Amino acid sequence: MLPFDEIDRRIVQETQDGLPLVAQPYHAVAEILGLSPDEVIARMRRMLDSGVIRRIGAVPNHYRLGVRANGMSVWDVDDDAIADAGAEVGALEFVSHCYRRPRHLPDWPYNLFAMVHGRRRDEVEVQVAEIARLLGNRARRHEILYSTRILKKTGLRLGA
Amino acid sequence: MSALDDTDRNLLAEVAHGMPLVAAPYEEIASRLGIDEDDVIRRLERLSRDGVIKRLGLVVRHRALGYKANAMVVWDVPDAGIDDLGEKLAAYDFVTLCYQRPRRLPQWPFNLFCMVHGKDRETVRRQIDMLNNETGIGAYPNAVLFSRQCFKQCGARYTVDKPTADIIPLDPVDRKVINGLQGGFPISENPYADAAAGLDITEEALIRRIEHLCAAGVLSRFGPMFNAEKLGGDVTLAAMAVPDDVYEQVAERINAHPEVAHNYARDHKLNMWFVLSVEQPERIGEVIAEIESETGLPVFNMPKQEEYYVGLRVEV
Repeated sequence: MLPFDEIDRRIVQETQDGLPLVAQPYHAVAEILGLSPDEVIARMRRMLDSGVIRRIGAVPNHYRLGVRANGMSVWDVDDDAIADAGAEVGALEFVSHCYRRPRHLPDWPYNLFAMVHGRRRDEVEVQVAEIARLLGNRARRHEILYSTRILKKTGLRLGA
Repeated sequence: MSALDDTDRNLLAEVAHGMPLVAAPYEEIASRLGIDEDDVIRRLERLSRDGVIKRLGLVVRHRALGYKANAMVVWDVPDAGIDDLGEKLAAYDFVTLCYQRPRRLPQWPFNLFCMVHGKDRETVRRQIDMLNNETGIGAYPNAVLFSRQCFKQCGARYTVDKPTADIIPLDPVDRKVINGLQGGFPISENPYADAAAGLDITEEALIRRIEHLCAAGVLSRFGPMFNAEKLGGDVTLAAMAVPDDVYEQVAERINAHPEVAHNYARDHKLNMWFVLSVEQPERIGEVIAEIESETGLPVFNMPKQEEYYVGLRVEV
C-alpha cells in the first residue's frame, strides 16, 4: 500500500461529505486546500488505485429507493465447510454483503452473515430460502434480523 | 400541520402508487407496515386533513369524478424561472390547476405543481409530453402521480414497471443517473461533463439531478467512498441486547461516539447493531470498553474474519 500522508488526509476530510457540485469539483477542492488541481487529481487517482477510495459516485439510500426490507441473514455453518459455503453464498446475485464473523456462544451461534434486501419481507424470505437450499445440511440453523430503524448513518468520518 | 413521522412516510410510500387491490386494503397496508388497521385509517384521515395526501392526488373524492384520467405532475425548477414556466403551463386547456408550492426537503423536492386531465391515461401521458417538450420544462426533475382511479384502470402493471420507491418517484433520467453513476465517476478536469456525455445529458442537467436526488434523500451523498482499513484504520460490527426501557438512552450514548458510523435497530434479542470505523485500530477495543462502561451492558464484537462478497450497487 502506498503511504497515506497528511495531504491525502485533508483531501479525504474535504470530500467525505461529497464532491462539490460544480463543473470543476477537483479544482474547487484544490482551491480550498491551497493545492494545485493537478495535485488533487493525481492524489485522488492514486487513492482510487490503492483502494483507499473504493469508488466515486452516487451513494443511494436503500429506503428511499423503496428497498424497505433489509434482512441480515445469519447462519450457523460448520467451520470445516464455511470457506466454500461463504464463497457460494457470496456469489448469489441478490446477496449484497457476505462475511464470516465469530460466534459468541451461548448467546450467538452464527458465523456466516449475508445481507439480503427487498421491497417487502416476503421478498427477503424467498431469497433466504434459496440460501438455505444452497447450504443444505452445512448450516445447522439460521435467523433473519430485519432492521427496524436507522439509529445513525454517517459513514466513515475522519476527525479534524 | 403536524410533522410526518417515519410511519407516516412509510404509509405514504405504500399508498403513493395506489391502494392494494384486495378486499381489505387498509388491513393489507397495516400488515406490511407492522401497525394495526385502525392506526392506518387514523393516519390516512390525519394526512388528508393536513393536506398531505390531497397534495399527492390521493384524495378519495377524486374517484367520484368517474371516468376521466387525471395526473398530478410536479417539477423541481429553479425558483428564479418559476413564474414564467408556471404561466406557460397554465395556458394549456388540459391543465386545470397550476401552482407553486414550497419544497419540503428532504421528503418533497418539487416546487411547481399542475393537474392534467384527459380521457384516459394515454391521453394524459401525451399531454404531459407536450408540456415537457413545448415549454422546455421537461429538462427539470419531475414526477407524474396518477390519481387513484387511474391506477385501478391500469391495474397492477403500473407497479411492475415502476419501483415502489418512496413518495419521490424517479423519472427515467434519475434512474439513468443512479444506475450509471454508482462508481466510475471520472477524476478529470471536467468530470461532470465527462460523466454526462456517457449518460447522454448535459453537464448542467447532471449537476442539477444530483443536487435534486441528494436533496430528496434518494442519494445519501455523491462523492468518494473511502475504505477505513486502507486508511490504516479498522472496522467492526458490534451488537448489544438493550432492554426496552433504556433503549433510546443507550442509542444516544452509542451514537455520541464519532467512531460509530452506522447503528441499526434489529428485531432480535441482540437488538442494536452498530459499525465502528476507526482511524487507529486499537480504538476498536477502547471504544467497546467505553460503551460497556457507559451502559453497563456487554458488547459483542463481531469483526469480519473473511470477506466473501461486498456489493457496491443497487439497481433501480
